[in-house]
Amino acid sequence: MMLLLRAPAAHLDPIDPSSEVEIAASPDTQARRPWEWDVRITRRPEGLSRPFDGAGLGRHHVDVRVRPDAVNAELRTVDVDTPTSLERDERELWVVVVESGRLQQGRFTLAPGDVLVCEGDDPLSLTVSAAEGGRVSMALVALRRVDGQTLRWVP
Amino acid sequence: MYILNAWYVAAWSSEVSRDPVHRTICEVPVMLYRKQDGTAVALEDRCPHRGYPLSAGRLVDDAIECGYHGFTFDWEGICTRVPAQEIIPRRTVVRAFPLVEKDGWIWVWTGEKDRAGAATVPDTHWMTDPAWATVTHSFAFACRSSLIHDNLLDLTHESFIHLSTVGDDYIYQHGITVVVDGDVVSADRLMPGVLAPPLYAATMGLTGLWDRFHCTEFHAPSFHALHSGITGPGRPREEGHLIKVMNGITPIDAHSSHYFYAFSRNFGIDDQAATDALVEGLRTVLQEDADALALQEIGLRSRPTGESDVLIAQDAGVAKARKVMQRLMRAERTASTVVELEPAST
Repeated sequence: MMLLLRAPAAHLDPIDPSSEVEIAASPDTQARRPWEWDVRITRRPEGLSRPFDGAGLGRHHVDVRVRPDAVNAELRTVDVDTPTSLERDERELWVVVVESGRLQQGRFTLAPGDVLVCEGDDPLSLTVSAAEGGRVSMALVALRRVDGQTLRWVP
Repeated sequence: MYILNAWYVAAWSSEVSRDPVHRTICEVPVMLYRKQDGTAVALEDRCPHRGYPLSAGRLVDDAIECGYHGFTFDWEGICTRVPAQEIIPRRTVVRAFPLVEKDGWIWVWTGEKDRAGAATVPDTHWMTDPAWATVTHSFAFACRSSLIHDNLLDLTHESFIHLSTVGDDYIYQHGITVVVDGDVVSADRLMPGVLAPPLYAATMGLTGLWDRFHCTEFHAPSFHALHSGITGPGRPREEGHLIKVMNGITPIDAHSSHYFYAFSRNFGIDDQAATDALVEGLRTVLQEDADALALQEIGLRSRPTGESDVLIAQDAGVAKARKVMQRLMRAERTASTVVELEPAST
């Protein structure tokens, strides 16, 4: 399953210093119990994070928090200027946040602040390129279970 | 609790005439009629005098006369005549609903009048585009409207409920891409290299393997545009046999819903045999849905408090749509928009 969230970061209020938006969390229920992980855009990072100002918000961060006995997280930057195939392990869940440039993924064009979440076996290979030429920078969060089982997620 | 600041389909244009028609929308009684110039009108269907349904009365020029004691209301809901006395009590007014008539659909806004913008009525232009042919059906579903939303956003049920018409195992074998953009949630599935389903194969005259696709686009809280079709292997979707299924879902109450269904196609548009086959085939599809969802409604009504659906990855569109609906509901609750109507008296 692939989930495309159109600029959830656009809901942030750049004036409010506490502003943050939750991109994805598990379990994605109101109670969040038993809590395992979440990915946010926030001014106050608490976990694995990197700077983000992709939605013209001023200084924010992509921030990943995990319960370490359940989930491992990796956060890296991926820059794309030529068509690139990103291969995901079926057991992983990816959260991709476009930071700058316009990303082409299949028939979708993603703008800064747009988010892709990929889980399960469809698709495992993410072919991306820079729309309209140029260069795209994105934050890629890879989450996997510490016990080696497949990390499944329903939004 | 309903999301009232929204456009809901109240009727087909063809249903509204000089004979008043009644609809219940979100538990609100609504009457629809046309003025002499053809303009459609929507008024609350309850006389403030004694609660009699105005739709049981008669039209006098452009006004509706209550069939009980003759109170008469113009198309804006203003009382213009009380037969038994000259003075019209101040509170003798019925609510007039903003109404948009477009492409053969009549939409009614059930919330605050000043928030009703015609621009937010969903696109249904295929209904009147001469390049498309349309089949329509109307159903009353014995289930809450949310079950219909779920049904349309998770089309893997076609593999089991609609095997004779549009179903096949390959549907649930292909994953979905879900897009959330504001209040619109879409769930898209591409099924490359598959057989056309029985209903389409017959009406499209197709054999062999094709790329099939469907994308449910939910415009919360009341409308789904289902963009589906079949195209050549690896070919762009727009080249194919295209279908636009428009679904107006209007709550009647907590356990029943109006379902306004339109199926527009860009192939065989002058083929009457294809149209006849689709009328019957789609009636079968809708009846299968109606039967299944009625059973589901029964199941849910007896489900113990605290138990909830076990959603899977194929339900990602369902899950996201529910969150959008919850957000709209919260916005409705926080806005002080509830109008308390006092009992009328003279």
